[in-house]
Amino acid sequence: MEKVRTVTLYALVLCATFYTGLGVFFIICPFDQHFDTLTFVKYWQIVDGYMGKRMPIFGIIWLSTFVINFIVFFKTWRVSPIFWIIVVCFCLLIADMSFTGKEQIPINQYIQSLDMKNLTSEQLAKLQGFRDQTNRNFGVRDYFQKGIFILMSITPYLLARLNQKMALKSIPQ
Amino acid sequence: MQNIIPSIRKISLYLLLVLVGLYAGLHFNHKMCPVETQLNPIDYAKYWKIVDGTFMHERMAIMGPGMSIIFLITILLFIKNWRSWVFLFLVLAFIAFALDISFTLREQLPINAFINELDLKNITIQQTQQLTESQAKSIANFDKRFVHAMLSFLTLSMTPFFLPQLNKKVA
Repeated sequence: MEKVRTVTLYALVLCATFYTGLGVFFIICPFDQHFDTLTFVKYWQIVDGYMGKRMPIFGIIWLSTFVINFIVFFKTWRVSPIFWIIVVCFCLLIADMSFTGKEQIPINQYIQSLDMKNLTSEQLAKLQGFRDQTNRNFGVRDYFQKGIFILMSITPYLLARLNQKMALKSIPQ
Repeated sequence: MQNIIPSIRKISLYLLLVLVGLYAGLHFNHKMCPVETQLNPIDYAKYWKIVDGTFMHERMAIMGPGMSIIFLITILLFIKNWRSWVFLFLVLAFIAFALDISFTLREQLPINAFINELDLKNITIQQTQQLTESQAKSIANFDKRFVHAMLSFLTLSMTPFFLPQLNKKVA
């Protein structure tokens, strides 16, 4: 069981890292802020075209890894904070997903539906507002992502203590 | 002092793991969303001038040496235990990271310098041709860098799992 816990937790840490990295890039390099609105729309259509297809796959892998870890660590909820860290991270992920679904996906869908060659001035004004909203949304999402990553990367250090406690528990008194 | 060292090691390893993790994440983002493969050479140059010229060149110039220093400090902290799994994975992670740095300096920086110097309003046919080649080369370079960054992170993220074993042996 020790080995299973190690492998599943390792997979979860990897997923958390990749997920955070997606957001960190935009924090280190907020290049879209230097684009004019039209270039931003062109760029966003490409980015969302990729992300719209790939994130659902990554999302399923990410959520499955969480579920597996819930099962593997469920019995340890009294002896180690790892289970509770996983629960908190899962809640943060769900919060991030629902925030994205509510605030960002409608913007993405609107941008994808635009015909770049026939943009009206009304659409351009709306786009500017959506662009500011997108920046704010990614600022909020960054908090969720960093929270998940910082918490998850503590868990491998707590695993040894948990394994020790579980081994002691399994010794007949 | 003997009691403090395991804690310092843990903190240093944690810090390194976070940095290398974020670095690998940056490359993962690029792999998930390779925008530049969809841009024509001129749009690519505009995009790259902002990405590299405005942000990455300056910021990675801090992050790169910072990560190298923390890598070296962590390796030094574990050097007494050079026969351990932790040390082995740490060194492997550092080799992958060093490979990435030298590859970037050799293969990518000249491309970045070329693009940053371009005057896109007065670009010649020869320069456009060179730009197209640079775009293709840069895309290939980032595919290789993704492998380096992943190797570095995958090996480094094994170390916390072997740390208790090492601490037990040392104790």
